[in-house]
Order: sequence, then structure tokens, then C-alpha cells
Amino acid sequence: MFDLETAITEWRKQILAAGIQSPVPLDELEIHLREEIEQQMKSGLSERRAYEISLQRIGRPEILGGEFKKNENTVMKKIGILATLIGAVIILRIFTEHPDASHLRRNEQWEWLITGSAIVFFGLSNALFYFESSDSQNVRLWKIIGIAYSTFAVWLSAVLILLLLTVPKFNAAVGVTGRILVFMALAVSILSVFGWRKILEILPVVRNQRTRTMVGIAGCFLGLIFVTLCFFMGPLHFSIGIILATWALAMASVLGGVGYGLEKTAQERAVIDS
Amino acid sequence: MIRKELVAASAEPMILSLLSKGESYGYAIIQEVKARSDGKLQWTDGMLYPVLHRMENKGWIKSRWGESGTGRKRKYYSLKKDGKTAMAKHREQWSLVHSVLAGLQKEQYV
Repeated sequence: MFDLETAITEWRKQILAAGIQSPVPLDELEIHLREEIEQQMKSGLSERRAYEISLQRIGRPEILGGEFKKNENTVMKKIGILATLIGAVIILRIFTEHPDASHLRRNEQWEWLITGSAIVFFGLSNALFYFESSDSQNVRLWKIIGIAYSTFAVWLSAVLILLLLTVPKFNAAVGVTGRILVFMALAVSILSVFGWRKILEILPVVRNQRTRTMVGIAGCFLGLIFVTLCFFMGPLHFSIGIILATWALAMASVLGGVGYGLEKTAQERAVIDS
Repeated sequence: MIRKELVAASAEPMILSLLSKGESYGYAIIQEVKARSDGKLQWTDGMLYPVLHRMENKGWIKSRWGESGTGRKRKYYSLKKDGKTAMAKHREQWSLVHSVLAGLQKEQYV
């Protein structure tokens, strides 16, 4: 026996699977589908036939999902390209500086080089990553913050590891256990970028918007505090310092993504409940 | 039936022109396009919404949630100032294409 409500629920699931996970377009599409079904039934068709025809008219979920994704990716790509260009200009400025000036301001140059490269890294991540479509404004904002934290953590950990492997003094200072711990920290940072879908599954659904925002901000601050403390402790003992710094970055990477995770989980729950 | 590339290209100016008459919602826009083209201009219904959202992101149109007479929830779209400018540009371009084609057609039959 055909049940229209069950059929529409099934269709919603297909739309969700196609990547339209924000309530707004999903609701709009459902309202449209229901209006079309109603019109078809008024013309004398059975409920099942009206549903089938309306489904054909509204289009296949994967094609609709693809069209909505195009809209979202454009915004992310623009942010990414802009950040990449700003970072590239900063780096180019350092390399094109007069040799005498560069000698006098070597420390400052390193700082700008690190900043420029981090911005490029952040920009490229935004431009190249394939994100879910139809996110709400809050999810988009937290997504950018999460990416900034994660990419900065991965990038700075990679710089520290590069120093560890290439500078003989640092190389000698860190033993095998230390190296394993440093690489594990880098792996956690990378996982926080690529494994966010898995993290979403274990996050609780916080329905209160204010609580989500507060927890997200607290996560970002905690991440920064971890990194600041460990970078102050680093110079005291290089071996312990580099391990702590990479792990602090890994923690910051995870904590920076908490706000995004909570918003995304809440959004998906709202879609399922609606 | 009109080719899908042409249907896609005409979607934005068509929506802008329809909304210039007053606010409307997805289903009504589709029905009006069908009626005005005697069913020859057929959109896949769902494809209208990504276009509407894109136009909203561009700042051409704005939306609000409202209710129909029967109490059904609906999202109404209306034209913004930038949308009117965009519509004028679209019309200019389509008029140019139309006049070139019409001119060529006329020459063939003279």
C-alpha cells in the first residue's frame, strides 16, 4: 500500500545523501514537491502516480545536489583565492627585498615568511577542499575558523619537523621516542582536517545556539592558550619543547574545529527532525 | 522543445523579469514560465532553486518566508535594486542577440 508521507520521507533522505543538508533548500524542494503532487491529484491522478510524476519533474537528487554545491563552492573558492594571493604577495615581498636589508632584518623576515606561507596554506585549503553544500551562515563561519586552525597547525608542525630533520643540532637533540611523538602529533593535526566527518558522528547535538557559540569560542581560546604556553616552554628544552609544541598544535587543530562540528551536527539534526 | 543550454541561459533574465512584476515563489515561477511558453520552455523544477539561491547570493533578489492562503509555508522572492540593474543588462544583451538574428533572418528572405 502506497503511503505518501513515507515516500516523501524516503525522498528527503535521498536529497540529504546527495549533499543538500541545509534545512532551507530542502524545505523549499519539499514544499514544491507537495504542491506539484496536489496539482497532479487535482487533475485526477492517483496519489502514487502523482508522486511519481512530481518526482520526475523536480529532478534527480544527485543532480540537484550538484547544482547547490556549485553555489557554495564559489564562495569558499573566492575566499581561498583571495587568501592565497595575499599570502603570495607577503612571501614575494620578502624574496624581492634588497640583500642588505634582508640581512639586517632576518628575524622579522622569518616571521613574515611563516605568516605568508600560513595564509597561502589556508587559502589553498579553502580553494581546493570539497565542502558540503548549503551550509547555514554559522556553519560557514565556523568552517572557515576550523580550517584556519587546522591548516595552521599542520603547516607549523611540518615546519618544526623540517627543522628537526634538517638542522643537525635539533636532529641530535630528539630521540626516537620523541620523533614518534612529534609525527603522531602531526598525524592528529592532519586527521583533524581530513577526518572531520568521523568526528561529527561522536559530537553531541547541542540545540542551544548560544551554548554552541560559547563552546566554539572556548575551544578556539583553549587551542591558542595551549600553543602559546608550549611555545614559551619550548626554548627551555628543545626536545620536550618540540614535542609539546606539535601536540599543542594538534590540540589547537581539534579544538578550533569544535565550533564547526557542533554547528554542523545541530544543522544536520534540525534537517532530520524537520 | 527548446534546448537545455538555451533554457539554462535564459533562466536568470526570465526570473528577474517575472519578479519585476511582484514577489513570487518557486512553484508559481515555474508555472508561469510554462504557461507563457505554452509548455515549450521546460525547466527541471528543482533546478530553479539553486538559481534563485545564486541570485540571492549575488544580491539581485531577496527572500522571506510566508504562508499561502491554505496555510502552507512558502518562500517568497522579490527583486532588489541590483536585480533591476542586472535585469536591464540582461535585456540589453538579449535584445542585441535577437536583433542580430532577426536581421540575418530578414536578409535570407529578402
